[in-house]
Amino acid sequence: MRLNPEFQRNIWLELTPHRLLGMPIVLGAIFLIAHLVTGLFSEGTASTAVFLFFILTVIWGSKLSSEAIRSEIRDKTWDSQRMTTIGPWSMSWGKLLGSTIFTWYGGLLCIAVLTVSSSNTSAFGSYLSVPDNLQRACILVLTGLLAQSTALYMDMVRTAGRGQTGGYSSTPGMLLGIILALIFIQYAIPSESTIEWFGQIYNQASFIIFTLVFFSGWAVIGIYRLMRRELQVANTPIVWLLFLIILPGFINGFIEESSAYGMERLDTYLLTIYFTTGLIIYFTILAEPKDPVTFRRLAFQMRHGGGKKILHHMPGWLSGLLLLGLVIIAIHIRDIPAVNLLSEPFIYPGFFAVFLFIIRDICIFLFFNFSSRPKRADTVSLIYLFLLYMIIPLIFSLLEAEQLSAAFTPWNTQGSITVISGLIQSGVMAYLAYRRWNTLSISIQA
Amino acid sequence: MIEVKNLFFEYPGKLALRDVSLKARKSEITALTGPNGAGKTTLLRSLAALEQPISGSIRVAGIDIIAQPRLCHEKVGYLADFFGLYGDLTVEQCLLYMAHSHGITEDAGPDAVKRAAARLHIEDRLKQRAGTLSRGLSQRLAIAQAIIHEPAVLMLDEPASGLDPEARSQLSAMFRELSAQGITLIVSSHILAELEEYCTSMVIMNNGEITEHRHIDTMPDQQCIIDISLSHNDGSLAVFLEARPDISLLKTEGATLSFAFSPERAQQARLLETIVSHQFPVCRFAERKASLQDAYLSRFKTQEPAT
Repeated sequence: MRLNPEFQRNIWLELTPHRLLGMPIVLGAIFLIAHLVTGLFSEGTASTAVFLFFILTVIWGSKLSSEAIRSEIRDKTWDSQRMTTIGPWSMSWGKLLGSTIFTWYGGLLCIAVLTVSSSNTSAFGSYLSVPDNLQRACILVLTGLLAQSTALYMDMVRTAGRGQTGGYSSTPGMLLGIILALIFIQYAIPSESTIEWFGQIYNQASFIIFTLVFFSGWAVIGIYRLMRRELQVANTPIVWLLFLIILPGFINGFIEESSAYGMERLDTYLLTIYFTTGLIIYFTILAEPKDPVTFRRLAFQMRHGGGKKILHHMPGWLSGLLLLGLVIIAIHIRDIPAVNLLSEPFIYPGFFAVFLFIIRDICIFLFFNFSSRPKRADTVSLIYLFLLYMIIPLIFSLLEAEQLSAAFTPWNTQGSITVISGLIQSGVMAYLAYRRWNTLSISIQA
Repeated sequence: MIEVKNLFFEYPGKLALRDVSLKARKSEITALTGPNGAGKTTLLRSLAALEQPISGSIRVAGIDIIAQPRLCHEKVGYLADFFGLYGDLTVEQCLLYMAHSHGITEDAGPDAVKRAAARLHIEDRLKQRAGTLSRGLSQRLAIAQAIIHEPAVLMLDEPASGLDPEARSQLSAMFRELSAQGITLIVSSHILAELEEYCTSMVIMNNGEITEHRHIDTMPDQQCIIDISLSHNDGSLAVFLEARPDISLLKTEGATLSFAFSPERAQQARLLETIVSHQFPVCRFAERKASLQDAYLSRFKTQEPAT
């Protein structure tokens, strides 16, 4: 059987005899110091092993994976890789595990030392059984995988968005991976705690493993889909929509059914989709390409292509917006009480107003990105959004013009004013964005 | 082998290809030339399915590459103008990686490596690290990587840039060799004198359009190039020549002027007589075959707007 060529190449580069020998020597020296200070395979050794695992697989691993694509672009090897017949899946896992293979080599040595230490001492209050040791090893490995896959995903998002020259920083992806790992690695310490999810009680370690698999899995799916796009394989929005539907399902498990407001599980689920999709739309509008050409392709397919080709060119925020529209209709049909997930009063038209304000905000991003000099268009858009959401309502509030303030705050209780204002603002911004896009098209054709 | 129809490609703020149509037959070596920003690289990248055009169709070796871009990578090799190599791998590992990446089996990999290395005459470098190769040898390795899967079409963007004259000459010979082996080549370059050595047809691009596509063997039929040297040049002969409709002035280098003119001896004699009668201090009048560079300059001369 042939090894994945991308994985093989990384092995050639990363696992040189010198490195294979160097890693155990360095780790051995550090563990020797821990042993001299705290005793053989003691609590100190166990803590050192966890610390080294974090340094190696989370920090160093995230750094390497966050540069996996960027370094290929920078070193001018990405095009030759894209010209190969390696499939998107092989390329994805070949890069994810290949670029970090050396850190895993060290990380697994740390887990081995940790396991021996935990079996030998009462480092965590009691001797750890084999299943406990296995659970902890799973949590550590999955935490490392989550950090690395998140970092690679963010690297690919930035490549697709604006970094075709590779001239962007990999730090945000790496930091996000590390932050996520910090949240989860604390659960590597065995505990008797439990977690309630959809009314059922679960052992904490088992549930954390499930959660890590859930999020790492989606990060890997995200990498795979972006890799497809890099390798010129068309994506439909189906998987993206599935994510938008499944993620709220996971979150919904932590929300209690609100009998006080007469809400059923489906109602809280719809509300969770509504809020998470709304937030994710902002992430996608920031992350995805928004240049006029992207929309020219979509427009061309709408005129000459077919249904599936339109889906291939549909931006993620647009499919999210369509889902949000459907959810609002469902909320209306089910007549969900006027509360949000924080149990704050929420006038019904507010759902629709938020939808309109999201459209307005998207059009603001597009308007600035369609300019002839779109440098820092996203930053400019964010400044305008800050002005619209924070400064203008604050000024009206200070002037005690609450109704005018409501015209700029969709979460406000002045339902009809907010909806009318949202309609006008989204309509104006959509017109301005379209006009700019069209003008730019005409000038280019000429 | 290659058929492009009505191709449009747009970058944000710029239409890079406008209604480009092109055909290339098997074993042809097509030179792609034009000024910077003409759209040569964009066209090559579209043909290699690395970029997606707005509209139009591209068929390479019978594959509709807009519909099935991944399929064409089995049939196409591409070398970018600024390429990279994995400097820490040996030449053999670089080639083996590319072989396996193109679906060549584990057993067939070493043979494919030997074949590609032999084609590019780098068999003796297989154990050397790619990062230690000279510019010329790196170029050879990059081309060997691009042809390891024996593609039907090979596209090269400015392959001779940065090479010394000897390496360029070897590159030209190599292209002729690959063409003789049945590979269709498209080579983008500014170095017209070298393109002439191996290409069979020339495509001139300007401002995203193909302004001329002709086969080299049909080039010298209608016009030849006349070089006139003067004892001193005050610019008046250039003005005189440019005023004549049957002359296309190509360039002026010091006291020598080159222009396209009829190959008819009688017409040339009349022209010389007229020039001498106007008291221009002619010290040399020579006819030569039109080169690619002359054709290129002639094309851009005729496109210059009237001032």
